[in-house]
Amino acid sequence: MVAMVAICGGLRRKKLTHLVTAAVSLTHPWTHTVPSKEDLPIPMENPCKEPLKKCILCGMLIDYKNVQLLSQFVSPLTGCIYGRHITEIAKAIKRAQIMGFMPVTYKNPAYLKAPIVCNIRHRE
Amino acid sequence: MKPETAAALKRTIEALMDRGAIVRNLENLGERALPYRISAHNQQYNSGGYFLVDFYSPTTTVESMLNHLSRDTDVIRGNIVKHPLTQELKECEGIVPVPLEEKLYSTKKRRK
Repeated sequence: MVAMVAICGGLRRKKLTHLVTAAVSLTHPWTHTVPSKEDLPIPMENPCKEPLKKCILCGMLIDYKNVQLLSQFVSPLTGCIYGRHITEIAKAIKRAQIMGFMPVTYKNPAYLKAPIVCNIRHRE
Repeated sequence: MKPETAAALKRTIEALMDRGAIVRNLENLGERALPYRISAHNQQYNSGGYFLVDFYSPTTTVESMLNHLSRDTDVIRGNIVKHPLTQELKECEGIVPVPLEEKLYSTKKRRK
Protein backbone atom coordinates (compact mmCIF):
# COMPACT_ATOMS: atom_id res chain seq x y z
CA MET A 1 0.00 0.00 0.00
CA VAL A 2 2.82 2.43 0.98
CA ALA A 3 4.90 1.58 -2.11
CA MET A 4 1.94 2.33 -4.42
CA VAL A 5 1.39 5.75 -2.87
CA ALA A 6 5.04 6.68 -3.39
CA ILE A 7 4.85 5.85 -7.09
CA CYS A 8 1.65 7.88 -7.59
CA GLY A 9 3.22 10.95 -6.00
CA GLY A 10 3.96 12.62 -9.33
CA LEU A 11 0.72 11.74 -11.22
CA ARG A 12 -2.47 13.82 -11.58
CA ARG A 13 -5.38 13.66 -9.11
CA LYS A 14 -7.78 11.59 -11.23
CA LYS A 15 -5.26 8.92 -12.02
CA LEU A 16 -4.23 8.92 -8.38
CA THR A 17 -7.78 8.07 -7.23
CA HIS A 18 -8.04 5.29 -9.83
CA LEU A 19 -4.83 3.73 -8.61
CA VAL A 20 -5.91 4.11 -4.98
CA THR A 21 -9.22 2.38 -5.57
CA ALA A 22 -7.46 -0.39 -7.48
CA ALA A 23 -5.06 -0.82 -4.58
CA VAL A 24 -7.97 -0.96 -2.12
CA SER A 25 -9.72 -3.71 -4.06
CA LEU A 26 -6.56 -5.76 -4.23
CA THR A 27 -5.84 -5.68 -0.50
CA HIS A 28 -9.50 -6.23 0.63
CA PRO A 29 -10.80 -9.08 -1.49
CA TRP A 30 -14.16 -9.42 0.35
CA THR A 31 -15.78 -6.38 -1.26
CA HIS A 32 -16.28 -8.04 -4.62
CA THR A 33 -16.84 -11.68 -3.64
CA VAL A 34 -20.15 -13.36 -2.66
CA PRO A 35 -20.51 -13.79 1.15
CA SER A 36 -20.36 -17.32 2.48
CA LYS A 37 -23.55 -19.16 3.34
CA GLU A 38 -23.03 -18.80 7.09
CA ASP A 39 -23.14 -15.00 6.92
CA LEU A 40 -26.49 -14.69 5.11
CA PRO A 41 -29.44 -13.50 7.31
CA ILE A 42 -31.46 -16.39 8.76
CA PRO A 43 -35.15 -16.12 7.85
CA MET A 44 -37.14 -15.78 11.10
CA GLU A 45 -40.18 -13.82 12.25
CA ASN A 46 -39.70 -10.44 13.85
CA PRO A 47 -38.30 -11.09 17.38
CA CYS A 48 -39.12 -7.57 18.54
CA LYS A 49 -42.82 -8.00 17.76
CA GLU A 50 -45.07 -6.79 20.59
CA PRO A 51 -47.91 -9.11 21.67
CA LEU A 52 -51.23 -8.18 20.08
CA LYS A 53 -53.47 -5.84 22.04
CA LYS A 54 -56.39 -7.58 23.72
CA CYS A 55 -59.90 -6.32 24.01
CA ILE A 56 -61.94 -6.35 27.23
CA LEU A 57 -63.73 -9.57 26.46
CA CYS A 58 -60.75 -11.57 25.27
CA GLY A 59 -60.66 -14.31 27.87
CA MET A 60 -64.20 -14.06 29.23
CA LEU A 61 -66.98 -16.60 28.81
CA ILE A 62 -70.03 -14.64 27.66
CA ASP A 63 -73.20 -16.18 29.11
CA TYR A 64 -76.82 -15.21 28.58
CA LYS A 65 -77.29 -15.45 32.35
CA ASN A 66 -75.01 -12.65 33.57
CA VAL A 67 -77.35 -9.83 32.77
CA GLN A 68 -75.05 -7.24 34.30
CA LEU A 69 -72.32 -7.81 31.73
CA LEU A 70 -74.80 -7.82 28.88
CA SER A 71 -76.55 -4.69 30.12
CA GLN A 72 -73.26 -2.80 29.89
CA PHE A 73 -73.50 -3.08 26.12
CA VAL A 74 -77.07 -1.80 25.92
CA SER A 75 -78.27 1.78 25.73
CA PRO A 76 -80.02 2.95 28.93
CA LEU A 77 -82.73 4.91 27.13
CA THR A 78 -83.76 2.79 24.18
CA GLY A 79 -82.21 -0.60 24.84
CA CYS A 80 -80.23 -0.57 21.59
CA ILE A 81 -77.27 -2.90 21.45
CA TYR A 82 -74.05 -0.89 21.23
CA GLY A 83 -71.53 -3.44 20.06
CA ARG A 84 -73.44 -4.89 17.10
CA HIS A 85 -70.20 -5.95 15.48
CA ILE A 86 -69.26 -8.06 18.50
CA THR A 87 -71.36 -11.01 17.34
CA GLU A 88 -71.08 -13.12 20.49
CA ILE A 89 -72.36 -10.33 22.70
CA ALA A 90 -75.21 -9.58 20.31
CA LYS A 91 -76.27 -13.25 20.22
CA ALA A 92 -76.18 -13.52 24.01
CA ILE A 93 -78.20 -10.30 24.43
CA LYS A 94 -80.89 -11.46 22.03
CA ARG A 95 -81.06 -14.81 23.81
CA ALA A 96 -81.39 -13.20 27.23
CA GLN A 97 -84.10 -10.84 25.97
CA ILE A 98 -86.18 -13.61 24.43
CA MET A 99 -85.84 -15.91 27.43
CA GLY A 100 -87.04 -13.24 29.84
CA PHE A 101 -83.79 -12.38 31.60
CA MET A 102 -83.22 -8.94 30.19
CA PRO A 103 -85.59 -6.14 29.24
CA VAL A 104 -85.73 -5.14 25.59
CA THR A 105 -86.82 -1.52 25.39
CA TYR A 106 -84.82 -0.18 28.31
CA LYS A 107 -81.86 -0.98 30.52
CA ASN A 108 -82.42 -2.71 33.82
CA PRO A 109 -82.29 0.19 36.37
CA ALA A 110 -80.35 -1.95 38.85
CA TYR A 111 -77.40 -2.06 36.42
CA LEU A 112 -77.42 1.60 35.42
CA LYS A 113 -74.46 2.37 37.65
CA ALA A 114 -72.26 -0.29 36.05
CA PRO A 115 -68.85 0.86 34.71
CA ILE A 116 -68.98 2.20 31.18
CA VAL A 117 -67.45 -0.20 28.71
CA CYS A 118 -68.50 1.12 25.32
CA ASN A 119 -67.05 4.48 24.29
CA ILE A 120 -70.28 6.19 23.35
CA ARG A 121 -70.87 9.82 24.07
CA HIS A 122 -74.34 10.69 25.27
CA ARG A 123 -75.92 14.05 24.63
CA GLU A 124 -75.63 16.05 27.79
CA MET B 1 -91.60 -22.34 47.96
CA LYS B 2 -95.18 -22.78 46.84
CA PRO B 3 -96.41 -26.35 46.42
CA GLU B 4 -97.74 -25.49 42.94
CA THR B 5 -94.31 -24.53 41.66
CA ALA B 6 -92.83 -27.65 43.24
CA ALA B 7 -95.48 -29.78 41.53
CA ALA B 8 -94.86 -28.07 38.17
CA LEU B 9 -91.10 -28.63 38.50
CA LYS B 10 -91.64 -32.29 39.38
CA ARG B 11 -93.89 -32.70 36.34
CA THR B 12 -91.37 -31.18 33.94
CA ILE B 13 -88.48 -33.22 35.29
CA GLU B 14 -90.52 -36.40 35.06
CA ALA B 15 -91.41 -35.55 31.47
CA LEU B 16 -87.70 -35.00 30.77
CA MET B 17 -86.79 -38.37 32.24
CA ASP B 18 -89.60 -40.09 30.30
CA ARG B 19 -87.96 -38.92 27.12
CA GLY B 20 -84.69 -40.44 28.20
CA ALA B 21 -82.86 -37.45 29.63
CA ILE B 22 -80.44 -37.67 32.53
CA VAL B 23 -80.95 -34.71 34.83
CA ARG B 24 -77.66 -33.44 36.20
CA ASN B 25 -78.57 -30.41 38.21
CA LEU B 26 -81.48 -28.15 39.08
CA GLU B 27 -80.88 -24.54 40.02
CA ASN B 28 -83.30 -21.98 41.32
CA LEU B 29 -82.42 -18.55 39.98
CA GLY B 30 -84.94 -16.92 42.30
CA GLU B 31 -88.40 -15.52 41.94
CA ARG B 32 -88.35 -12.03 40.49
CA ALA B 33 -90.32 -9.56 38.43
CA LEU B 34 -90.21 -10.32 34.74
CA PRO B 35 -88.41 -7.73 32.57
CA TYR B 36 -91.55 -7.24 30.48
CA ARG B 37 -95.13 -8.40 30.71
CA ILE B 38 -95.42 -11.86 29.19
CA SER B 39 -98.73 -13.27 28.04
CA ALA B 40 -99.10 -17.03 28.01
CA HIS B 41 -102.14 -19.32 27.94
CA ASN B 42 -104.59 -16.37 27.77
CA GLN B 43 -103.10 -14.85 30.90
CA GLN B 44 -100.59 -12.11 31.56
CA TYR B 45 -97.78 -12.43 34.03
CA ASN B 46 -95.59 -9.79 35.67
CA SER B 47 -93.46 -11.97 37.93
CA GLY B 48 -92.29 -15.52 37.94
CA GLY B 49 -89.78 -18.02 39.21
CA TYR B 50 -86.69 -18.86 37.20
CA PHE B 51 -85.38 -22.43 37.21
CA LEU B 52 -82.40 -23.88 35.36
CA VAL B 53 -82.19 -27.61 34.63
CA ASP B 54 -78.94 -29.24 33.45
CA PHE B 55 -79.55 -32.46 31.60
CA TYR B 56 -78.04 -34.84 29.09
CA SER B 57 -80.36 -35.97 26.35
CA PRO B 58 -80.35 -37.10 22.72
CA THR B 59 -80.98 -34.30 20.26
CA THR B 60 -84.12 -35.94 18.82
CA THR B 61 -86.07 -35.45 22.04
CA VAL B 62 -85.55 -31.67 22.11
CA GLU B 63 -88.52 -30.99 19.84
CA SER B 64 -90.95 -33.10 21.82
CA MET B 65 -89.70 -31.53 25.04
CA LEU B 66 -90.34 -28.02 23.74
CA ASN B 67 -93.80 -29.12 22.66
CA HIS B 68 -94.52 -30.40 26.14
CA LEU B 69 -93.31 -27.17 27.73
CA SER B 70 -95.49 -25.03 25.51
CA ARG B 71 -98.56 -27.08 26.44
CA ASP B 72 -97.96 -26.86 30.21
CA THR B 73 -100.06 -24.04 31.70
CA ASP B 74 -97.75 -23.47 34.64
CA VAL B 75 -94.77 -22.80 32.42
CA ILE B 76 -94.71 -19.20 31.19
CA ARG B 77 -91.80 -19.57 28.77
CA GLY B 78 -89.65 -22.65 28.37
CA ASN B 79 -86.38 -22.79 26.41
CA ILE B 80 -83.83 -25.50 25.69
CA VAL B 81 -80.31 -24.35 24.96
CA LYS B 82 -76.91 -25.96 24.47
CA HIS B 83 -74.86 -26.09 27.64
CA PRO B 84 -72.50 -23.10 27.49
CA LEU B 85 -69.69 -24.77 29.48
CA THR B 86 -69.30 -27.57 26.93
CA GLN B 87 -68.05 -25.07 24.36
CA GLU B 88 -64.30 -24.71 24.55
CA LEU B 89 -63.04 -21.25 25.32
CA LYS B 90 -61.17 -20.45 22.12
CA GLU B 91 -57.92 -18.68 22.82
CA CYS B 92 -58.31 -15.11 21.77
CA GLU B 93 -55.00 -13.80 20.46
CA GLY B 94 -56.06 -10.20 20.50
CA ILE B 95 -57.07 -7.53 18.06
CA VAL B 96 -55.53 -8.64 14.76
CA PRO B 97 -54.35 -5.53 12.89
CA VAL B 98 -56.26 -5.23 9.64
CA PRO B 99 -54.20 -3.94 6.68
CA LEU B 100 -56.37 -0.96 5.83
CA GLU B 101 -54.23 0.01 2.81
CA GLU B 102 -55.61 -2.97 0.89
CA LYS B 103 -59.16 -1.93 1.72
CA LEU B 104 -58.71 1.61 0.42
CA TYR B 105 -59.40 0.74 -3.20
CA SER B 106 -62.05 -1.78 -4.19
CA THR B 107 -60.86 -4.87 -5.97
CA LYS B 108 -64.05 -5.33 -7.99
CA LYS B 109 -63.51 -5.91 -11.64
CA ARG B 110 -64.92 -2.88 -13.41
CA ARG B 111 -65.90 -3.22 -17.02
CA LYS B 112 -64.11 -0.67 -19.17
